[in-house]
Amino acid sequence: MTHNPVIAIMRNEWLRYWRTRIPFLLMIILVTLWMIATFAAHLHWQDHARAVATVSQKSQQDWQSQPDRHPHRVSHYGDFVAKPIHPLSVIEPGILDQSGHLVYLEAHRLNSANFNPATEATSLGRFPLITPAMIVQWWMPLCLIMIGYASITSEKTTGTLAYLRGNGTNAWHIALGKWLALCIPLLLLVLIQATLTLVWIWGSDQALVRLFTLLIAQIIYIAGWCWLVILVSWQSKQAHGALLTLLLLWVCICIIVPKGLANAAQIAYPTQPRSEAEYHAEEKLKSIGDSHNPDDPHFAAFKANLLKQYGVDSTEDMPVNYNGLLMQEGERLTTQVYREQQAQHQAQLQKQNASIRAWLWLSPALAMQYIHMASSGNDLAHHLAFLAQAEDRRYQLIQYLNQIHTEKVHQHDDKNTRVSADFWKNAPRPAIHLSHLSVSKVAIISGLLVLLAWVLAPLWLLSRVIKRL
Amino acid sequence: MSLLTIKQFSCAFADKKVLNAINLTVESGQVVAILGSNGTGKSTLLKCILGLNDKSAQLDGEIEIFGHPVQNQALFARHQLAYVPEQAAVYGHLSAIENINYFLSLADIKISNNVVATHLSQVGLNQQAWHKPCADYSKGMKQKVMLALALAKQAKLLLMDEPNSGLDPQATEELNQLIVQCKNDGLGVLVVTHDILSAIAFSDQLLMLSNGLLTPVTLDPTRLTIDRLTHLYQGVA
Repeated sequence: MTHNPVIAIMRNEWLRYWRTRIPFLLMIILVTLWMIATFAAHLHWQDHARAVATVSQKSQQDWQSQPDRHPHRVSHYGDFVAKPIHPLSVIEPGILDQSGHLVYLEAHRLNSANFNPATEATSLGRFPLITPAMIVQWWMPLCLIMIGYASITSEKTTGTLAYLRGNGTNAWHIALGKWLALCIPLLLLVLIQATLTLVWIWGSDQALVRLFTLLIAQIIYIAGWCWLVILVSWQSKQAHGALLTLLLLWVCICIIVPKGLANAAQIAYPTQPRSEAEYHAEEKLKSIGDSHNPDDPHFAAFKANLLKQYGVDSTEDMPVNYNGLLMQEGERLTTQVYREQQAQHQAQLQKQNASIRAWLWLSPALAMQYIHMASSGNDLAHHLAFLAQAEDRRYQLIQYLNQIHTEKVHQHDDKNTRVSADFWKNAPRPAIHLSHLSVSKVAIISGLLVLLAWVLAPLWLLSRVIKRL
Repeated sequence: MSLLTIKQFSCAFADKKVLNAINLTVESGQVVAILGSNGTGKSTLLKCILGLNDKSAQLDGEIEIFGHPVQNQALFARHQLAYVPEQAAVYGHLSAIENINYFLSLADIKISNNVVATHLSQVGLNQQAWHKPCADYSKGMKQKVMLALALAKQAKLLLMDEPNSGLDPQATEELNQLIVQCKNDGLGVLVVTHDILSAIAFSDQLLMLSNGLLTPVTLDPTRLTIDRLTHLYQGVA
């Protein structure tokens, strides 16, 4: 037997797990759950990836195989854009299921993913599919509680703690030994998961930095829970008291606070439903101008400026297609209005997130979720960055088509003109990339700070109660 | 040098003085028994000797183990003695031999299983029980394991807190004999107990803790009456 007291205490604790069976069974249940979650999440990710690949390929083929046609028809033909999914989504799909992974880009319309409700955007509004991240976030702490709640109280009730202390065993050695016994099996599981994940995500975008961030956060999170279990067990006189206290803390940290904060944030900073936002946008558009109304002041001024610019008296005498210019102006206006709406909506979402972040210290589980979502590229910041890229692509493409309309279609035979398909094939459709992890730096830094406090706070409290026999 | 020396030691919580200018020494080959009713401060005194007293306690005076002050060198002091708590502190999932080996490893003491077996035989624990989990042991058997552990630790000073508590007469008698055996082997033993008859049987010095004061008493077991015991516990010597 080893003479290092910490190792000896840890080994004795493991022997207790093994011989009393229940902790060992709990570990088996946890590993089984983790395997199921990994398998289910992997299948789920494959479904996503397959749908993205299929739709992207079909959309590209359909786009490229368009015949000679009128550019305005092309602008309403539409363009599907797939959201880049990081393979780490297997660990945490985040808001992917709620935000969707495909958007349809069309003229005069903001892309279809822009007005999702806030609870979906923060991924706190519903119980998603079981994932490996959820195992770490919820089930590992619960398992730790079940295994470790009596680690010190049982020593108190059997008198072994008094004996150990009375015979010269350092209190911190006891706490550290118990902590290691609790921590190591779960950290091992987390490290195995990280190793498998590394193989899985190898070569993907920012694989190492994303995985490292995730791993560090998970290790601190588990370490914090282990210290909390030891603290409560040391503080409690009876095992059932420790169990009840820990279960109450688990319910608050993992369920009540995250759910409560999300709901409070949505009440404090409500977002409009999509239909309502679209209604307001339409109303605003009408107030700005109607290109079909000859008396509309905005478009009358627009027309007058063009006539002056080209030095002609009638739009029919212009060297370019006036309808195309009208389309460009109309697109500019609708885009401006929709982007304003989008900015308002996103500002509300950001306020919701900021208000949740302000209270993040109440729930390390929520901090862990923020880091899970950010690392896997499935948080709000990554989603908004994707939407911005998709919107830029839509606007560039539609204005390109309107430019062709202006320059290549004669206005005296506008409706019957067909433009060569080569123009669509060479249309600007910039690729959408997964955003850099730095878009989520606020969430990651605040999450890590909360987790650091989370591991230090129980240690500080333990230092105050550890001297008690 | 005395194994344990307590000089003018006082302990108070807020305004309540639990121990008042206590003096005590325990020498090699001596058994000192402290009697006292519940709440008189017997356990507090033991905690102070171990350096495990409550932080809020106001202490005065000196406690030395092998000449080392407990207040400054609590861990060192604890390593020099063997403490046997009231509750037989063994792990239910470990056998007697595993328990002893585990506790010794924490004290950085390595002895062979043969030596452990010798001590278990010495305290009279049935050999058939040595490898069974202690969860199945009676309280008397657990106390024997604790005593075997104390012997295996080869400490010169034994502190025992209510060692006979919950034991049947036969187990009590066996334990008393073991304490006497320890004394004969040159150990110093300090026992805190309610059991006056046992204390008379094995102790060289009998002390009564009452109202914070530690006073020597001389008792003749043939003349003990309920009234005499009641007076004793009320501090009327």
